[in-house]
Parts: sequence; structure tokens; C-alpha cells
Amino acid sequence: MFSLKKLLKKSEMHLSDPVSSEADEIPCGINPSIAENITVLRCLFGESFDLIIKETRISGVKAAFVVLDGMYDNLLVSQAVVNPVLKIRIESPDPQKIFKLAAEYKATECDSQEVSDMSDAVDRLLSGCILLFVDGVNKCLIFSVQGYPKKSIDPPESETQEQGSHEGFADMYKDNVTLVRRRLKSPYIRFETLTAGETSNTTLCVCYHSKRADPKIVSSVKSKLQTASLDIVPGAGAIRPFLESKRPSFFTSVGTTERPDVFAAKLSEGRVGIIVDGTPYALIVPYLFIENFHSLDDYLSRPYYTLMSRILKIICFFTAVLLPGAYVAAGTYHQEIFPPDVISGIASSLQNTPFPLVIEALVIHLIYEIVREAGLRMPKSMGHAVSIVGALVIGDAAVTAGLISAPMLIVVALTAICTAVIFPLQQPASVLRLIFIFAGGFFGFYGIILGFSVIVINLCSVSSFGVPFTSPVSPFDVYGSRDSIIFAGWRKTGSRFMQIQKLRGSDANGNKS
Amino acid sequence: METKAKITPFQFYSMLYLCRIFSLAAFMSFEGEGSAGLVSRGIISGIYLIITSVPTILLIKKDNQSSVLTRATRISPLFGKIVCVIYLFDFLVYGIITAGRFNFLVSAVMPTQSNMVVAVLLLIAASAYCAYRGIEGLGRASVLFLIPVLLSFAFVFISLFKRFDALNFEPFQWSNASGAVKGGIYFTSVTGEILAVAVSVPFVKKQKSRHIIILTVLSAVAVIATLAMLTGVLGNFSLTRLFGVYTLSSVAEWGLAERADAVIICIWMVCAVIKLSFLLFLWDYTLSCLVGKVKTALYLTLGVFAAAAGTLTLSSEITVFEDFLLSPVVYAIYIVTAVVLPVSVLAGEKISKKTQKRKWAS
Repeated sequence: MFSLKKLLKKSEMHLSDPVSSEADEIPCGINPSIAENITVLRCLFGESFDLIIKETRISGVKAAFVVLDGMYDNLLVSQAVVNPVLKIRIESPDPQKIFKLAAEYKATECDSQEVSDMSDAVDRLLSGCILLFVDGVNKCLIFSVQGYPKKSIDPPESETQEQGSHEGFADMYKDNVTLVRRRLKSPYIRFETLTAGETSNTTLCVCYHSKRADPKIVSSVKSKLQTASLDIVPGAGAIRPFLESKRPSFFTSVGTTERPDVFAAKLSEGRVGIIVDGTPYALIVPYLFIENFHSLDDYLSRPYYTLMSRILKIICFFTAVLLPGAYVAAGTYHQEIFPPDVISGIASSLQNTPFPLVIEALVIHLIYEIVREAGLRMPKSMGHAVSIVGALVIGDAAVTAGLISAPMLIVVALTAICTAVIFPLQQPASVLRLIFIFAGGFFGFYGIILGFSVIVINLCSVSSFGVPFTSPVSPFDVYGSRDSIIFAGWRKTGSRFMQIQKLRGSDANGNKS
Repeated sequence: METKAKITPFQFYSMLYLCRIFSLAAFMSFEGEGSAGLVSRGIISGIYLIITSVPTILLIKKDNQSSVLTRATRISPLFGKIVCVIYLFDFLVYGIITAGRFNFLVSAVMPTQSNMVVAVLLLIAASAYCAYRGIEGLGRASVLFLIPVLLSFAFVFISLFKRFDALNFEPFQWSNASGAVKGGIYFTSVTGEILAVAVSVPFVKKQKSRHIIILTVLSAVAVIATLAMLTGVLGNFSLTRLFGVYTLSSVAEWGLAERADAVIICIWMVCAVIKLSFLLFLWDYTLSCLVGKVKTALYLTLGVFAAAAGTLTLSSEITVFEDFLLSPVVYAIYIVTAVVLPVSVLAGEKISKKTQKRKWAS
């Protein structure tokens, strides 16, 4: 809004003096002259084809409807706004009376609002509203007639669950708010909007449970969002750095979900959620490291299965990050660690490859990352071709040609599968894996353990809005541990909801670490 | 200098316990009196540790909010500065010992062409980074690391239990009593976690004297049990190996894990990172108390350079490092910082209290 005001002032300056931009400032208020207002808008939007200005007369008084093409619902505009307004008939052409009648018109299909500030009017226009200017009135009437093409509510793509809902977040924040509201029918769930991005003016919706969320966390989130210096907000990921801990880490302390059910559950734990308009992902803070191993199905399955599932995910994480480096270290420096029957097979396959193990590992992992990136970005029609090239040419042919050893290929395949299991940690795992390959290749297990120690200490020192990132494991919290690696089941956790800020070690809990 | 209490006694003592474990794992056969029995050394070391921890216990019992540095400064600013300088020297020496041990342990157990100087520098740099992240990270990570470290010890102990032979304790461990006493005292002096307790008081919440007692007893038990296992399994052969405890881990086998020593030693290496990070953190804090707080990592950088220079100089040759470890400096700094300084601070506080009372009375 602020930026828009500045923009308006600039445009008005340009209007008054097209040569010099340093002319006197013109107030942002709406001019009683409809022609002036139209000129301001035309100047502001320039040659944009989508700005539609329809000048007309209402009971003999000049008026103008202003709307952006493609942003409104045609039917709603004609039936609920234009037709009824144009039907207004009064005996004497009094602009104020016409405006009053139009404003008092009880539109059941859409909301209407009066504004006297041009920047507010433009802001609403950009959101898809229709503006009505009446000559001789220094106000403008706004009708909410938004109706633009939008993505429907589809199943979530990156968080597929076996037993959960098939509804995922859509692009429009209002749809997402509805999805959350439908799941949390409580008056204490608050949805507050802010804008971010000087040019994009993207709407951010801060969601929280007013009785459970820590007010300090809520205000801190709002303040961080308000002070976020961004020109455009292309997605939720652009907001994330402003909410993350200032201490640099490989792992993000801001959670992401495209599932409204997960989002609702997190809100009920006292967390703060941020829905970004135009993004089918919502952000959640505070976020804990252990949550990377949680999924909705864990809560809908039997606790013993949940335990197994979470342990598997943790093993997969360590495998994805450490296995290639450990294999390189063991194959290069610590061959004694392999059982005698295994080492002969590994040794014979390594003998036939020309490159050192560390180079082999780096190259094959880089190839894997390229294939993965190609799979992500390429058109679907090319999928088969890439699969064939990846699996047959790089995999089979490279081993047959003696460029890569078969055990290394097994390690890469296992690593790739394990990475897919821990999808939220896929990005840090990909980078850390390469670092550990280097560490293992140059310093053996000692290099790996040195790097591992640093990463663990780094992880332990991070806090997400005052809540330790490694909680409830360290600092250990008995209450929180009912849903960490184990899930104690709904009978034990169902009635007593967890509040994130009450975890041991959090600032809101008196830093009882 | 006021600081916010950040970690629990459990986290803090887990960290100190890991520091102790590293000293134990990287214990070299030339340290102390080689001919004296290891177990007797361990027992004497435990007793000496308990005795020398009494001043620190009294110090914390009286005030569990302020560090020994702050309290010394309260008595007299000059005295406070002297105490800071002594502790700085102390942390530097223990840092050099830790990095030096790491250097020899890695070069002894890792058949690699890699440059050990780079490995040591990497350890110091990594530890400095960890120290920079603060004591919270170190404390929380220590609790996490304690589990695999204890499991690795349990693995070694359980797998070697069958090989334990009481005959290996012959000749009688007390045959060289004076050597055992000297070795025991040395063994406690060369570690030095107890001195860190007095300085790190403000970082630990609700610290009580019983926590120190538990730490000293558990440390003593760990040392005695490990040395007993070392003697019981390897006998006098352990004295012929540079790193006896490493040798113990290399003979431990269980099912397919016939040579898991590389993994076990790696787990113990974590303790080196924790110990050096903690010492650098205390170095930073002590220097802040001495000179004043700065926002940059200037003091840590100084600590890194000092530790790197000291380690590369003193651990360039094993004989040089041996001379350094067996020099009276190690005994002296321990007794000064564990006993003399805390007692002086306690006495100074008592005297200043009496003086104040007299002033009020007059």
C-alpha cells in the first residue's frame, strides 16, 4: 500500500510535469472531476491493455466504471453492479445523491465499499474489484466482483498420504483459508492479512490459534513479515529466509506443507502459519528438526507402525547423507571394516575401475543430481527418454565399460531411494552428501566424524522463534517426546494438546533448557 | 560479567564427561609412570580428583550464579585480572594437549597419506566454529553424543568380557607405589574438567554441588573400569602400545563386526571436538572478562591461532609432546586452578566480608 502511494505520487508528478519528475506533489485523494481521475489511472497504468474504463451516465450524471480485464466475474459485474446501478433514476441530476443511492444499493451478490483515497482504490482495482467514479464526488465506490481463473483444489503432490485427506492447498489464499477454517471450526483461529513485496503487493495471511499461540511468537512473525524487504514474492520460499533463525544452518527452521489438515494440526499446537497468496504451500513456525520425519499417516496408523516408520526415516536420512562418504572412507582407508567375504568382491570391482573412489563417487552423484534435476524440470513427454538414458546408458553401460564399480552404483541407488523417503530434507541431504564424500575421501572416517560433529552442534544451536530446533530430543522433554520418534497414540495425546512454546528449553518457557 | 544461564546441569556434565572420555581414549602409554599398574593409577586418580574438586564444590555451594573470574574481580580487580590470565593459560594448555592427542591418535590409527597438520588445523577450526555457536549447541549436542559414546564403550566391554583374565593383573598393581601415586595424580592433572566448572558457573542453570560429586565419581568409575578392562584383557602388553584404549577397541569383535575399531575411535573423536570447542568457548569468555566483550569473534580467532601454533610446535614430534606432557607445568596448572585459586577466592571473600562487617560496626 505504501509503495502504491509512492507510485501514485510519482505518476501524478509525471502528469503535472511530464518533463520533470521533480514537480510539486499532488495529493492522493480522489478528485471530484471524473476526467482527472481517469487521467491519473491512465497515466498510472500506461499502455496496459487490460485497464477497462467505461464512461457512462447515471441519470444524466457522468460516471465511469473501471476494472481490470480478466480479473472480474462477467456475470456478477453485469447482474449485480452495472445493470442495477445504471437503472438508478432521480429527478434532478445530483451526483452526491446518485453516489449515495449506488452505495446504499443492497447488493446481495457482492460487497461494496466507499473509499476516498486513490491508492486504496487502485489497490482494490488490482485485486479484481470494479471501481465506480461519479463526476462531482470525491469518493469512489468499490464492488468486490473478483473472478479470475484459478487452480482448483487438487490432491497434494509432494505430501501424498495413504489415509489422509485428498485436498491440498490451492493457489488462492482465500481458498486456503477456507480449507483451514473447515478443519478448525473455532472462533479462536485468527487469519490476519499483511502485504509483502513492493511491486507484487502479495497478500500474506498469518494464521494462529489466539488461545494457544504464544503472543510473542505471533507478534515476532508479523514484525518479521512487515519488515521483509522484498520487491516481489514469487512463492512461499521467498518469505522463508525472513522467518528463519539468523544462525546459518543447512536445515530450515521454517516448516512447509501443502496439506490443510497438517497445517490445521500445527495451528492447534500453538504454531503460527503463513499462507502466501499464489502459492499452494503454507509456512509454519516454530518448526522442529524431528518434524522432518513426521507425516500425517504416522498419526493415522497404529503407534508401533509409526515408530517403525519414523526409525526407518531417520535411518534413511543418515544413509542418504553419510553412506556415500562412509563407503569412500572405508574403501580408501579403512578396508578392515568390511567382513572378509565382502571385501574380496568390493576389491575386485574396484580393481577394474580407473578412477579413485572419491572421484568415482563425486562423478556418479553429480550425474544422479543431473538426472534428478532433469526429471524435475523436463516436459513429461521426455520422461521415458531420460529414464532410459539414466538407467541403461549411465548405469548399466558405465559398469560394463568399467568406468564405475557396481558397489558404487548400489550405494548411489540406495542413497537416491533413501533421499526420496525424507523428502523435506532432500535439499540439505544432497549438498551434505557431497561434503561428506570429500571429507571421507581426504580424511577417512575422521573427516566424516569431524564434519558430522560440526553439523550436529550447528543443528543444536539453532532455535526457531525461541524453541530449540532439536527439541524434544535435546533438550529432552518428556511431554513433547510423546510425539517425537515415538507417537504415544491418540488415547494419550488426544485430549491433552501440545503447545510448542511450552517445550523444554524454549524462551517462552523461561529458557528451561 | 553477567551472562544468561543457558544449559542444564545434565547437559553441562554430559559435556564434561565427554571431555573426560576423550582424555581416557587418547591416553598414551608414556603418560605417568609406565611401570606402575594402570588400575592403581586409576584408583589414585579418582581419589585425587575427588579431593581436588572439594574447593570447587565449596565455591559453587556458596554461590552458583557467578564464575570464579567474576568473584575474584569483586574481591580485587587486579586479583581478577591475574585469575583471568591464569585460566587463559590453563585453557590454552589443555587445548594444545587435546589437539596434540588428536594429532597422534589420528596419525597412529589412520593409514593415510593425508597431511596430519591439515587434520589438526581442521579440528581446531571446526571446534572454533562450534564454540562460536555458543554453549547451548555444545550442551545439547553433548547429550546426543553421550549415547553413542556410552554404547561404544558398552560394545567394547561386553565383547571383551570373555577375554578378561585376572591373571593379567600380576604382578601386583601396587608394586611401584610411588609411581602409581605420581601416575594417578598426573592422570587427573592432564584432564582438567573440574577447573572448567568454576569458570562456567554462569552458563549452567541451578547447578548444585551434588552434580560435581556425581561427575567426579562417575569419571573415576569410568577411568577405573576402562583401565581395569585394559589390564585384564591386554595385561602388560597394553603398556607397549602407544594408545592402549585404542588397542582395546581394535581387539573387540562381535559377530560380523570384527574390526570396528575405526568406527569406535571415530565415535570417541566426537569427544575431542566437544572438548576443544568447550575450551575455546571458555577461552573466549575468560578473555571477555579480562579485556571486555567484543561483538566479533576476535577472541576466538586469537584462541585458534594460539592453539594451532602451540599444537603444531609441541606435537611436531612425539618426544617433544611427551616432554611437554610430563613436565611439571601440567601438575602445576591443575593444582593452581583447581585448588589454589578457588581457595584464594573463598578466603578473599571471607576477608572482604569481615572487613565490610567491621566497617559497618565502626
